[in-house]
Order: sequence, then C-alpha cells, then structure tokens
Amino acid sequence: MTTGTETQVLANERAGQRRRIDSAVILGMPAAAWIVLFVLVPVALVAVYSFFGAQKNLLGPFTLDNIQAVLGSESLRGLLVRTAFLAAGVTAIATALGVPIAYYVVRYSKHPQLILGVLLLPYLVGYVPRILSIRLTLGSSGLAGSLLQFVGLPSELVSPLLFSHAGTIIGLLHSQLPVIVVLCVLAMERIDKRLFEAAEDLGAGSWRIFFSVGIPNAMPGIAAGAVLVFAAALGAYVEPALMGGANGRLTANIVAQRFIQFYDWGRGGALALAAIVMIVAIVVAVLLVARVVWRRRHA
Amino acid sequence: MLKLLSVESIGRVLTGLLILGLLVPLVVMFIFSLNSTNSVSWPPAGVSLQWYADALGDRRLLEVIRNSALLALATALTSTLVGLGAGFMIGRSQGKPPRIVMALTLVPLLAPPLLIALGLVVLLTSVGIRLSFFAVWLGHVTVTLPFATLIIAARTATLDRRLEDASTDLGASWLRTTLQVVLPQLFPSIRTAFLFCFVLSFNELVLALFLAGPDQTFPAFMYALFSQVLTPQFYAASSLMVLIAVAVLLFERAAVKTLKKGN
Repeated sequence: MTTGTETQVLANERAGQRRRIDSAVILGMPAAAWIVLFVLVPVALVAVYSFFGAQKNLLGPFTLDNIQAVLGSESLRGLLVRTAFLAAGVTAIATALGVPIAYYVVRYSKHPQLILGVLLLPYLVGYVPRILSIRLTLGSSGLAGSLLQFVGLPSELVSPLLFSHAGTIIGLLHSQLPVIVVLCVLAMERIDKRLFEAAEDLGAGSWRIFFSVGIPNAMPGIAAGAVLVFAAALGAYVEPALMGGANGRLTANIVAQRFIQFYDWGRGGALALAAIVMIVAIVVAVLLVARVVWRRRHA
Repeated sequence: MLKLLSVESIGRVLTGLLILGLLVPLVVMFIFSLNSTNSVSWPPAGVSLQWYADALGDRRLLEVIRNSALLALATALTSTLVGLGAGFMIGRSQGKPPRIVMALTLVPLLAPPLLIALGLVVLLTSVGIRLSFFAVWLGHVTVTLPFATLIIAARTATLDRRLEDASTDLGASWLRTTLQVVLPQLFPSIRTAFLFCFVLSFNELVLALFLAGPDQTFPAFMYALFSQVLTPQFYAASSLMVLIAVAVLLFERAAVKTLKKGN
C-alpha cells in the first residue's frame, strides 16, 4: 500500500513536472516565431531573389543568371575575396589579442567587472560616436595630425591609418575586440580553478598553463567569439563606408547599393547569398570540428 | 626579464592598450566638444558649453532624439517581454525545444545587420507595408531579442526550484507563485535586459538607416552629417550618446550594489 501511494506521488510529481515544462515551452514560442518571421524568412527571401530576380525587383522564372553574373565578374569576385580576406584578418587579430586579454581579466585582474564595463561601452554607444571619435583622434586634421605638427612632423604621416582598408580594420577591431573578449571571459570563468592550481603545483610555467589549461578549456568561447567577429566583419557596412575611403567599399556596401539604389534585387541577392554561404560555411565548419573534438574527449 | 614576458604582464599590457584604444578616442571627442573654438588642434583653447547649447537648441536634433527614445522604449518593452518567455524556457526546460529556441536566438547575432535590414525591406515591400518606424521597431526587436533572452536565461538557470515547490506546497496557485516567487527573483535580470535593449536600440544605425523610410532616428540623422563638414556641435551631440550609455552602465552598477547590500 505504501509503495502504491509512493508510486502514485512520484507519478503525480512527474506529471506536474511535465506540465510545467510544457507550459515553459509555450513561453519560448513568441521569440522563436519572431526570429523565424523577421530573420530567417527575410534572409531566405534575399536568397530567393538571387535565383528568381529579374531586373527591377520583379520575380521571374528560375534563373542562374544572377549567380553567374556575380561569379563571372572579375571585379565582384575580387570584392568577395577582398571582403573574406579582410574579415579573416580582423578575426585573426581580434582572437590573438582577445584571448590573452580575457585570460588576464579572469586570472589576474583585480577589477574584472570594471574592465568588462569599459569594454561594453563602445558596443553600447554604437557606430556614430565610435567612428566620429576615431576619426577625430587618428585623422591628419585631428588630434594625431596636430600632435605631429606640434613636434614638427608633417601631419600627413597618419593619413594611411584612415580612409583605407586599415581604417576599416581599426574600426572593426574597435567594435569587435570587446565581443570576443567578453565571450572568452565568460568561457574562462567557468574553468575549474583547481585545474590551474594543479598545473601550478606540478611546476608548469605561466605560458604552459595558458596554452595547455586556459585555451583548451575555453575553446567553445573562443570559437564562438571568432565566428561572431568573422560574421560581423564579413557583413560590415558602416566601417567601410565611413572609414574605408574611396576604394574601401566591401561586399555589404555593394549589396546595399544594388538593392536600394538600383533596385537590382537579383544581382544584389546573389552577392548577399555569397556572403551568407561564407558565414554558414564557417559556422558549420566550427560545429563539425567541435563535434569531432567532443567525441574524441568523451570516447 | 622572465617576469616581463610572463602571461600576466603581457596580458596586462594588452588589456591596458585595449582600454586606452577604446577610451582615448571617446575622451578626445568629449574634450573637443567642450572646446571654446571650433578647431581640433591641440591643446584646446578653452572650456565652453556653447556647442551643447547649440545642439540642444537645434529643434531637428531634439526631434530625432525624441523619436529614438520612443523607438527604444517600444523596442526594449517588446524585447524584454518576448525574451523573458524565451529566457525562462531556455533556463528552465530540458530536451529539444529549448535547444531549438537557443539556436534560433543566436541567429540574429550571426546575421549581419545589413542583411537583416535588406531582408526586411524585401519582406515588407513584398507584403505591401510601407517603411517607417514600425519597420525599424520590427528590426530592433529582432537584433536586441538575443541579448534579453540570454541575460534572462542565465539568471533563470541559477534559480532555486525549491522556493517554487515550497510556494506550491503552501497552497499558492501557479499564477501567485509566478508573480510573487519567480518574477521578483528574475527582476534584476529583467531590468538589465530592458536597459541593454533600450541603449542598443537608441544607438542602432544600420537597420534605422534602411527601414525608417521617411522617418529618421538620432543615429541616422548623425550619419547623414558625416558627409558634411564636422562641427563641434556634432561632437557635442555624439558625446551625449556616449554619456547616456555611461549613465546606464553606472546606474546598473549602482543598482546591483544596492541589491547586494539589501540581501
């Protein structure tokens, strides 16, 4: 009898739990629906136009003309390659700087919260103050230029820093370094402190601990950060427009021009599709590598 | 020598350089916004608030600031409400559904804003909706939703379930447990999510640029000024954007401290 009641109680509890879980699932539906409707569907539409878009935003019969036009054009191919290289470069620099910074913040810094607050600031202020202030600081007619004049050097010495691909890279690092640092900090905070202590007790030097304990255990955060930076750099629109100079326009700028100025949703869509494919390819590659590593560790 | 090349000292130097790189431009801009002349030569000539007075006397500027504030308010309310549901679910449920919602949540972070903007332009014009603040609101909720969801999910995962069980055992209804036990515990994260979404939306540029149609937000108005001669009035308006973000960050810290003391 007792066991019967206990079973009954357990069953009731489990049913209650299931009901609670089910109601929680309903709570997530609006967000899921919102993202499907206002991100996945719109981005898919852009891709659709690259296969069906004729001139002047009309849907035509299925065609590969737009894709062929993009891949066949030397200048557009060059644009995609340039964008990809620049995004890869920004990602490499941001990762190489961001990982040791995050490691310092988590393991050694006395004011981690303050540093994270400072890192969040540029992200929160948005493009306008960020880019305006960089131009004001590094420009040949800004602070750097007038400082050069002050010490008797020509102010044009700093001009290669802005209005070139270097300007775009500086602008992107300014906004993306905080992203990768914050993600790496979140990942490194979760590493069991005893792992570091054990490595120290066994006589490992600080670099050995960094490379053999810190980095491997923070890999999910590092990879996530690198992917986010790559995606943001590949789709960068404002930095190349305001800091890239006359020849600094990247894929996103040309896509926007095709869509908004020329109403050429077919060619614009095909170019955007190339960027989408690159981002998806990187995400899939990282997920596959993560799965292989995970399997090997838990084999 | 060995000490100089340790991870700690190199990490410290890099962190210092990053903080300088992030803050120096903003400080420089702030200094020149207080300059009494309109040149950017160093050192500044004198201190004056005239550019702020000019900026705040510009009726068009005040109008776009009000537009952006209302838009950010609507965005933050929607994102926090929708993200509260999704965040609670991700932090609480197990199995496939929360993982699907989590994966969806990450999509707006990965998709470049320009792509989301153009996609929404195509979608809305296809169904015959004219571009306006309504379209920007749709876009802003989309890009701020991940932050609201992740902030609330992180807090939900740390909640003590036994408090809810105790409340239920003591006869409280599901609704009462939610209102009096769950929500008060989530409140700090709800406030953080709201403020974060508000500031992100207030300063967002790309979606506002393509989706606003005839309407104009504060950042879009400022973006248009980039093609003209930069004036200290522009630095003053831009510094105001920074000061708003700083105020929000400081408020967050103060609020968190007060709450910790209260506990």
